[in-house]
Amino acid sequence: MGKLFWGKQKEVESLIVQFCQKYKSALDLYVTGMKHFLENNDRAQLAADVKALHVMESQADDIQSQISKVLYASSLFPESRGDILKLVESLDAVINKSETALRMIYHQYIEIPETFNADYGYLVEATRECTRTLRKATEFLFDKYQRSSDYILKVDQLESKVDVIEFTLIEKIFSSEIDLSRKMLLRDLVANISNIADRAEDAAGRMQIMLIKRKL
Amino acid sequence: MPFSFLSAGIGASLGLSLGANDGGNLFGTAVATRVISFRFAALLAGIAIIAGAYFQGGDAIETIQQMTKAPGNGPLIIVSSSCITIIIMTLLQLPVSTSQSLVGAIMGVTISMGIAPGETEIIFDHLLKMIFCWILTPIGSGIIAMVCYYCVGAMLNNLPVSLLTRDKLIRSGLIAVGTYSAYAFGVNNTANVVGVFVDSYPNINPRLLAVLGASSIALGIFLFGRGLMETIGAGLIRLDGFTALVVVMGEAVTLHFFGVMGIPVSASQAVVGGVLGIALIRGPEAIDGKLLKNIFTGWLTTPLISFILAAAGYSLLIGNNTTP
Repeated sequence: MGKLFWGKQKEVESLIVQFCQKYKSALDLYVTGMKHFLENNDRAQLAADVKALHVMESQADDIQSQISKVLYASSLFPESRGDILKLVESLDAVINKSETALRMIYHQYIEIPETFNADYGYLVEATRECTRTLRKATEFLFDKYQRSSDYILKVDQLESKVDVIEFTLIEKIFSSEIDLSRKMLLRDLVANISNIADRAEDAAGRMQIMLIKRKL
Repeated sequence: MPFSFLSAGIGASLGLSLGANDGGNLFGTAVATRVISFRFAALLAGIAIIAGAYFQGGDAIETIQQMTKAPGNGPLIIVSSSCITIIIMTLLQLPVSTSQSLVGAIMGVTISMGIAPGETEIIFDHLLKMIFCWILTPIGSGIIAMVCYYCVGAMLNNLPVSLLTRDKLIRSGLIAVGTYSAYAFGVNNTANVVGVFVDSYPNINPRLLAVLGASSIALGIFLFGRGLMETIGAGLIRLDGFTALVVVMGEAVTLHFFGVMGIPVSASQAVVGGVLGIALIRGPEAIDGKLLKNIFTGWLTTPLISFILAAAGYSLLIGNNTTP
């Protein structure tokens, strides 16, 4: 009887754990790809990193689709089903943005002047911290959900930190002596990288709403 | 013998309508949110109602029996008037209480036939007690729901569990509390179906009569309860899983308490009280004022209509005969 009622819940939990693992792997690949690019600008290595990230993103999509199917067959409250689906979608958006940033470098043949290398590295590291904190918040939501609120708050703070780095770097780019077209390309890359943190903040906001709705 | 068949038929139809109307108050949110299937909810409710009627339904049945002093076809007129009142109120789309319509009809017949001097005190004592309990029903249910809201809410807020486990606890609670509320409903409301017939069937054990009445309520849930169960919650305010849980808790405890006291009360009004209690916590602006007005209108007019119908019915059909 227990299995009949709650079997789907275990399945949902297991799929969410799998999704979080793919999320972690995808963002690790993104950071590794960025480091490879910033350190030695190896195009072949970058192509391999983009491909690996795309595979990971597709696998995350498959799990997302399974979560959706299992959720609708489960006996969870409709509101919880909707909340979890939207949350997984917003986490997937973070993965998608990381792929977009890495792809941009590859497809648009971007080269970063030596003087900005450290700043880009700093920006990537800040977005990584933000997405890592988001993963912790998600994991706590499906473990001891009250504890996720500390991490949700931290995601918000880290996103603000990313914003500061973004604006400082854009200013630095436009105050340099390089071509305007290149400046604009570099600015777009900065925007794409910091968009990852924006998506992370969106997902954290969604989690915050989930917690508020359940606060009695 | 035709009387027996007719009264059994009308009694059963009252039980069916009680089941059809009140099934939603027991498992509405659990079924509407697909926590359990309608069939399983109806099965659980049916078993619990019959158990409640068998084990603890006697006191409320005795009260109705003591109030019903109508000989011959009197019980038939009481139950028929009650049924017609329920139909009228349903057609007018006003909420209806079977307990109130039945007691209104009992009083209609009682007053129409004239109360024996020695019985006045007993009947009016029961009546006053009932009116008092009808007023207390939504208040008590509301208070219990509010207390449960804070206590169970605080417990859930501090349980170190996942979001899905929290969801699971509420869903399990809805099933457990729904089953308890069905038991309490059997304790309290079976009297409405069989109470007036106890004296008419002296050879049948009242407990067996209670089981028969409860079975008709259970059948009513099975046959006609689906629609209301699946749509319940779209009423006064929107009920989520947790609020539905505490509202049903308030309803169950109130029904059980008054059932043990021997007073049949309205399950719907207990639910309304619980919902209003939660609305007081969450913000009264969420309440549908028009619906609330309808509920109070139904509350006042139900016993009045059945009183008039029963009094008129008794006077027209039996009052002129010397041997009723």
